[in-house]
Amino acid sequence: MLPSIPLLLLSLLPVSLALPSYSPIWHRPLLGPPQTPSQIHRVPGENKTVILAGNRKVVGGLNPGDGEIVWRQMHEEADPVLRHASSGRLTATLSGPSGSTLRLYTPHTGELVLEVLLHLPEEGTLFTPGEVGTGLQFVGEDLMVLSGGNAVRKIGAGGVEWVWTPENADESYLKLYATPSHVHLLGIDPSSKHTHTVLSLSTGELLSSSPLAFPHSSKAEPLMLHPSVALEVQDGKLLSVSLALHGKHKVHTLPGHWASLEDVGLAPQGYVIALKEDGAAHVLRATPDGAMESVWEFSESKKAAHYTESVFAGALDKTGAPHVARVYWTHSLNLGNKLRKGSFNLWSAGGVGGQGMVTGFTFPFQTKVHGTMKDIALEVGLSSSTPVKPIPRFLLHTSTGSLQLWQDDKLQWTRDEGLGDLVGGVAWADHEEQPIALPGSLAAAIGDTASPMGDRGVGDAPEPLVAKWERQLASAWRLPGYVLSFLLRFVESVVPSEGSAQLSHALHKLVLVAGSTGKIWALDTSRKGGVVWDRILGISGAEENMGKVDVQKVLSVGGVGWVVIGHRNDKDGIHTAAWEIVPSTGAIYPPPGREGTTNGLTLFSGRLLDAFILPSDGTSQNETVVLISQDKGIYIFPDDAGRVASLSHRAKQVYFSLPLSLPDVTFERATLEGFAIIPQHESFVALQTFATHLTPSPKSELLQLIRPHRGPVASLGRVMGNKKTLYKYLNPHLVVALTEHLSATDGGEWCGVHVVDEVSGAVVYEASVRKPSGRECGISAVLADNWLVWHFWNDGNSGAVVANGGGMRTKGWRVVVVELYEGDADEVTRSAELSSMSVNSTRVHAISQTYGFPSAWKAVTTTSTKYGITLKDIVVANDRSQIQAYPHAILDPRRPVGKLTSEQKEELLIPFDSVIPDDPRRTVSQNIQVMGTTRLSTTPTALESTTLLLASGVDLFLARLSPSSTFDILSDSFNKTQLILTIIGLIAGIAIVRPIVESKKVRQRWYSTT
Amino acid sequence: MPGTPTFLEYATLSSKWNSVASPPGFTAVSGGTVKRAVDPVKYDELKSKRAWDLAISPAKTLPMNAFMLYMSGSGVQIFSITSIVMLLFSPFKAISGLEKAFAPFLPTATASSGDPLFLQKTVYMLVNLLPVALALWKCQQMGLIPTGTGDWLAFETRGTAPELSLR
Repeated sequence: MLPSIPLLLLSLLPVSLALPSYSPIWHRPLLGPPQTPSQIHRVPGENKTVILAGNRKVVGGLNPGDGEIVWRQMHEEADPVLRHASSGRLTATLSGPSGSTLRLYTPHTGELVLEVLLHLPEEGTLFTPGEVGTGLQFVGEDLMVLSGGNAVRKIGAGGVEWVWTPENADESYLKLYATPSHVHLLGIDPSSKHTHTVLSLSTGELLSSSPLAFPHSSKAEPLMLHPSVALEVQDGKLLSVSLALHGKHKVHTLPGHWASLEDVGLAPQGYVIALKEDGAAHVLRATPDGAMESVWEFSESKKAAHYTESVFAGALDKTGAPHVARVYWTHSLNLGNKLRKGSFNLWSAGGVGGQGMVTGFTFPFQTKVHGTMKDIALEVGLSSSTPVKPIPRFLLHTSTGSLQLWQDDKLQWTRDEGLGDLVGGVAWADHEEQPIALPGSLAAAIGDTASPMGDRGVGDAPEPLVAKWERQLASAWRLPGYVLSFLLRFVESVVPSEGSAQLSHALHKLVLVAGSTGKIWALDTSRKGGVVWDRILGISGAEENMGKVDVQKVLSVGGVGWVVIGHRNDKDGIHTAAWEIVPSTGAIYPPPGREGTTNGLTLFSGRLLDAFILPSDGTSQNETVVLISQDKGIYIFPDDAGRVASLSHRAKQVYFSLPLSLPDVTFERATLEGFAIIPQHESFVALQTFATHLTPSPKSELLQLIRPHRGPVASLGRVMGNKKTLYKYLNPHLVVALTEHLSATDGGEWCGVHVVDEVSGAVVYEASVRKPSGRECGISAVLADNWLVWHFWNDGNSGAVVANGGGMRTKGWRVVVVELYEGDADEVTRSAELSSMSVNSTRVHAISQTYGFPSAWKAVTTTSTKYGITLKDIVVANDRSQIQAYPHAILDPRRPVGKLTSEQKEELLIPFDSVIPDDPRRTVSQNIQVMGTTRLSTTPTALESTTLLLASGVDLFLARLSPSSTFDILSDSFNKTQLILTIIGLIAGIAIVRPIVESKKVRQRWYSTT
Repeated sequence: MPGTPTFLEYATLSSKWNSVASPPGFTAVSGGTVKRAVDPVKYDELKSKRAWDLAISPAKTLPMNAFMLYMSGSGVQIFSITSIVMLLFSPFKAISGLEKAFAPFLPTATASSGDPLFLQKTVYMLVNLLPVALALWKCQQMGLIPTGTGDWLAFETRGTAPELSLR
């Protein structure tokens, strides 16, 4: 068929038929792995409890009943959450560098009540860790805030009531502790000695400021607790001193060898946990004279091989009595064949004789799934029966980022928040489902139904006509079987499934994701979604992160399955290891060892620089992972003989490129290095082939190297209205480098986009814009075949020379669309099959256009389909938590200005518009808020029209995209029953009417009078 | 009517008895009518002229067709498609019926060897090609003729590049 005819037919169709179809499949709202302590908070008067949890990026409220998110707030990367606290009807968050921003929310609905900028983000004293120098404490309904290390504010119902800053700017304050009458500040003076400052809570007046009575120690920070006592551990001694305003204060020493103190949130009640050097945990209480007393020692808390370290939390019940909980995990406890290895102890103050009482139980914590217990938040209810018994409810943070709510020893729910912080990319796999079983003899008669008409796909390499005929003749014997199976299928699905059974089968895939905590999950892409299986790689949550795996890359490797490459933190340093995983079952090779941990196959010691996939050589499906170590060593995985032979056979044609990395960081220049792989003594070495400096000035940086996804390309060119062709520049070796450099001529900073051939190192296309003042370069770029789209912020001075030279221009986001062609119309260089070393390989004709864009880009990718016939869309995660798709027709550099000529109309070009409008119909996420997307990943499906898209970051979001409409899917209104009944009716009608007509004809002949 | 050699005298047929057969041995004598003899050469000239008329006849509808097609625009519609199909096929039909069409114009007094109407037939054929040309022009206007590289793009193939870059 001539290509112009489908085009013409397309132009005849009503436009509505060709509308793209975007539909969300599932969405999993998340908070991300918790980093700040959670709080189980009861809202007074509402009889509602809400769990406040969060990390640097997100703070939110969870419903304790089902664990669903009630509300959440996302913070920008420059505005990380340092602290959050709740009391009564308010939740406060302190975020930004040294607590520059204070926000108040309602805890049960998350409505923003107040937002105050306490200081400019660039001001304020910064400490490590970031939460030192900040403080957040509720005193009744008032909130005391320490921010920037030097400013104290009292926030009341009417906003900021008073601000206090020290007269001496050298002094900074580390901690804040407020009593109902006073504010105590623990400060540090220029000679780095601790100071103690007291302010009046009601007026903010400075009452006293004096050095802390402790001998100087820079090791530990003192804790402050009720009633005005400071304590710290120094050289195994636990010292405490009264902070009362008047009188001479004596330093008290508590006997014993103490190791550390742990604040469990009971400082206003005067309780703290102190750990001895042997691990024994004591509950300490402060006495009015500034001394400390041990009121309880937790049994079995000494360090032992069969216990893990304990985690503590404190809470008040409704009578105001304090409770301290301790949870730990034992290796050996085994009750009634059930693995109930988590232990919970609760110490409650009061009780008989004032010694407090202890209750405890074990609970079935699954350490193999969730790692170890990292943190706990406690809530204690009281039973209505007498004697009153505490009913504990506790929230566990685990080392894999899970949140679990336990009521007594029963698990209420688990949230896999580790999914909110993914690393290493995404790997897809087809869901292997058993095909619909046919009766045995029938199946044998039909033969292989999976590939009924030869084993070729549309995207395969072209074959000569004779070969095609041979192949078709050879597979002709399967035709009867094919027809039979077709008929069976045709009849089988008489019950209308609206195509959904086949459709969902075609779209059914598995996707592997890896969390920063070392856990991996396989997710199902079907509508019910969910986790198919999860595994922990290495050891999660061990001391000093021993055995922890930092996943570097997640790959889908032909002939193997999934391969995870990660850094394993061993005693003797970091090792790079690989795990081979069967997608459907989650079976891992190498299998788990004696302790049940999967430590992977160690490939080399040291870190991984990059890992690539070597495509199969055509003789088999086998792909190979090629790993580059930091010393540029080449390792392959799996390293069976066939794969080694396959690589050494092709070795001299295999190239890769890496950003220049030198141990000397003072010499920084945006440089791309190219390497070839050379076989040497049964192994391989990387041989440097080129080093291309990407920027004119040596003061530059390579910000990002983007390796575009390569899929089949169905159309080699773009046919214009006059039937001439612009041949696409389809060099398969292109990479996109984003750089930043300081101009040698005008001293300005510039941001660059460079498209480089990674075999020859030749720069094929480059462009640069002036770096926006006070911002990062922030360029995002994507290259799909020959279509480069990049996006940047223009602050009115992008550096482009304008003809009229008129002053400032509009600020805003810009998208630059570039198409690379082999030359002008009808010029051919056959770039797709050209050697990168040939003269013509860098001959490029670039057509570009800039458009205004309504939003920032957080992540960008393109759709990809099985055969590359469907037009590609650019998919973007914008700064409004939406996923949007932009078709080529809109992001087209050839959109004509002015009235369209008939040729341009024939080409279906859309007239130029300076701004790409924000069209809600292109929003893939519809009304779903997809929070914090940092990565978009697409995969082709069995249907050519359809691509699956996974957005990850904080939330997980899966959608189905059909950029050129669902041309290979029957619409829901298609009625197969009706069709079959009509056909049967027609056949029956013919069968009945034909003899009647025949006899009538004969009769007519016989009796007709002419 | 061309080619009719005699004239019929209707005046003699006015009698209502005319249908009655003449008696045996009766010979009708046309009273007052003269049988005009026709000069065969002049007659052939006339035939030749008529043949020329036929030869250029397809061109006569050409301006009308051209105008119609021009007015129908460059879109592919059923109207222009039927016109084009007619324009494309009727000339060939006409050419295939060439001998039949020119048979009545063959000179009676054939003297020369070869086809006496060769010229007319040639012209007829050429003129018949004009509607074909018009139809092709229209097809070209509508973009139905695969003349550009774009029409053959789908048949182009590319091999794989000799180098392999890792991703």
